Amino acid sequence: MKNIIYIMLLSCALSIFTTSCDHETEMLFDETASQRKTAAVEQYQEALKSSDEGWLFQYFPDEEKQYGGYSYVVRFNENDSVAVWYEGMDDVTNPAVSFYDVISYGGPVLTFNTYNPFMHYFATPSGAEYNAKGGDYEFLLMSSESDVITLQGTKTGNKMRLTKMTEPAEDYIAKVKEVSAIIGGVSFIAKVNGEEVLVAEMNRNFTFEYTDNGNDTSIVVPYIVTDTGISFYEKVEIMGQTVQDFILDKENGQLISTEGEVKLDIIPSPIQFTGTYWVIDTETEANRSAAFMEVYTQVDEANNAALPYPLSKVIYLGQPLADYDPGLVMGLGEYYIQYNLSFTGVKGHEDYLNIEKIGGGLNWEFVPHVNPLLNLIVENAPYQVALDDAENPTGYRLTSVENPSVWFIIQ
Amino acid sequence: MIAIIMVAVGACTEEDGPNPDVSVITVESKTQNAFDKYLDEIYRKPYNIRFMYKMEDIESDMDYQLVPALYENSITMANLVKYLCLDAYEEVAPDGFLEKYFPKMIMMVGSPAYRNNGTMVLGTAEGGLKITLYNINNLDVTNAAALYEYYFRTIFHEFSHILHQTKDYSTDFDKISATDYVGGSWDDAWASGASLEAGFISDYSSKETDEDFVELIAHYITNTEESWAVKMEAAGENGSAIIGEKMAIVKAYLKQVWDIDIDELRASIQMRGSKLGEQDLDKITIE
Repeated sequence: MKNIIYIMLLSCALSIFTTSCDHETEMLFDETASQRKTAAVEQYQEALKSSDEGWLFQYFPDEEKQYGGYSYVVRFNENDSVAVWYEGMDDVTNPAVSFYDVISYGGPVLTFNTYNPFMHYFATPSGAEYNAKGGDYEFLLMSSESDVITLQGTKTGNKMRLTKMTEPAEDYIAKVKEVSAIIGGVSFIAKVNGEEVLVAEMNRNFTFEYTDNGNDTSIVVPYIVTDTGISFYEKVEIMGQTVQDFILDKENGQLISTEGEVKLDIIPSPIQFTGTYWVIDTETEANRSAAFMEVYTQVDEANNAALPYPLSKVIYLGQPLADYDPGLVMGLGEYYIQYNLSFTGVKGHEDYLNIEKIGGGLNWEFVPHVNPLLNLIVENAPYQVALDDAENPTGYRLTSVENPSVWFIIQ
Repeated sequence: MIAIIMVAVGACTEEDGPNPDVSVITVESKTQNAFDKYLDEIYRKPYNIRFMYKMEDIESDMDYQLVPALYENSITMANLVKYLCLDAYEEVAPDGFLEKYFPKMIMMVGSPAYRNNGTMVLGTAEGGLKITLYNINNLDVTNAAALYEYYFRTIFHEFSHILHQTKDYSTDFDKISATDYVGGSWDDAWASGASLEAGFISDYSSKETDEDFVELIAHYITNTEESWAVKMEAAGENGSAIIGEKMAIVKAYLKQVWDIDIDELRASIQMRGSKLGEQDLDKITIE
């Protein structure tokens, strides 16, 4: 009996060894995992450095893409440094230089690993925005073809693209800035298949609203400004038309889709508020109507009762604070309060200005008692715009179209 | 039969053994820039410390939205930490002290680590191994008080934790404020100045004994004799007596266990702080 057991055990053992010696098992890959990882990293390192003019980086921060997209050009150099151009830069001939690396982290990852004021702009937190603007600066490298590298933000999961540049970075960025200036601070009217569709634009996101087979439909589309027009984050179907890229027709003031029948009429604002600002001086009686002053006074008194910081006598409209979007801005003692507004034109009325709320900005949450003044300005829009004095103009008089007793002068 | 098995095993080891020519461990062979070489000379070779100025977000604290440090500011900080901290200890501590006990990694982060309530974390330490310094992009070398508050008090604080975790201090220390520690509510437990009057050098000191112990060291050596006296004046009779009692234990501990005279250490740091303006903090070459 014992012998039988030994023989059985032995045959088991032998069968195991025989199996383990089976040299027929094929390796799935010729190289080890770490060799493959290193090879992938090296392959992307080489690819990134292969473009003399760098790469156009169409960058979309934030998981919800609520700021739309922004154009960058990144040029990777031999010494691990990267030169970055960004459409928000003032001097296009002066890129910001920092370091980058391609590391292996569950796949090859491109990381901008020392601070670059442009590349990290949407990722830099502040006391007010502790999560910054949800920008990525580390990207999983997904695939590489000769002229396009696809990547994905490690935080947002947003898919983005690097496209090989065929012209100097400053030329491309300058063109983007030019297009951006034309379509910034304007409103749009969409025409799909020749039919008018309601569209609102805010923070580089379009919202199209229409009725489709009796259903109310609302589509939000993030976009980026290109050198020739705009491009949606992805292909979108609007009333049966699939569209993504639009070319700017400056002459006719239109953005025209390259595929599909969609046109966006540009309705410019009679006055610019982006990159500049206007002042309403409430202390000068000739500069505001009685109805306007009544609300200002009421708000001023409420402020004195609520806070130890006096409200400024002047009201700014536009962008007096460099780091904040256009809006309504007032002084509050040594601080500022600000509410984001959109200033747009009105179709068919070249001299009309529309003002709409976007959302609370700097310190606005601390001053709910100032809301009546904000509401007065927004709810009485649109305004008819005229020079304040035909012979010696110092600014514009804005008179409410609906309620002419509300008017003020901006200088 | 055993012979057969041996043959079988032998055959397997010969054929399936690892190939000694292929390594699965990849050692990165990146080219070093001038700053890397400088860091090698002032941190790695003498102290085996890795000064990390290139941040990999996926390796950092995912609780916070952080950005990397500016290269230029990292250079300044590398020189500052060496001059104000390592060199000061080197002057007064026994040979081999820093090599053995100073944290092995110092990591630079550009932004502050903001909490969702708007407050910020000044620095963190992971198990005595790695010190992370935040807000490097707002570095201002002309403001010594801010340098101490934002960066150096953190380093001294965390380094002191390593010391007492290596060799503990006397339990007599724990008894002095035993019933006054407030734990996690340290940041809202005190009106302005109240913690000092209760015998705590900072609000954070009142969290627990270990924090109290290291905060005393960090504050003592980042204050001049005069500014410390002003603090003791503000602490009042009761507060200063309690702090004095604790400081006696701190001083004796550092002297007896580590052979460090805390007054000499403070003098060295303060002397260095006063001569900051004469230092070339942008250098990346050894003179």
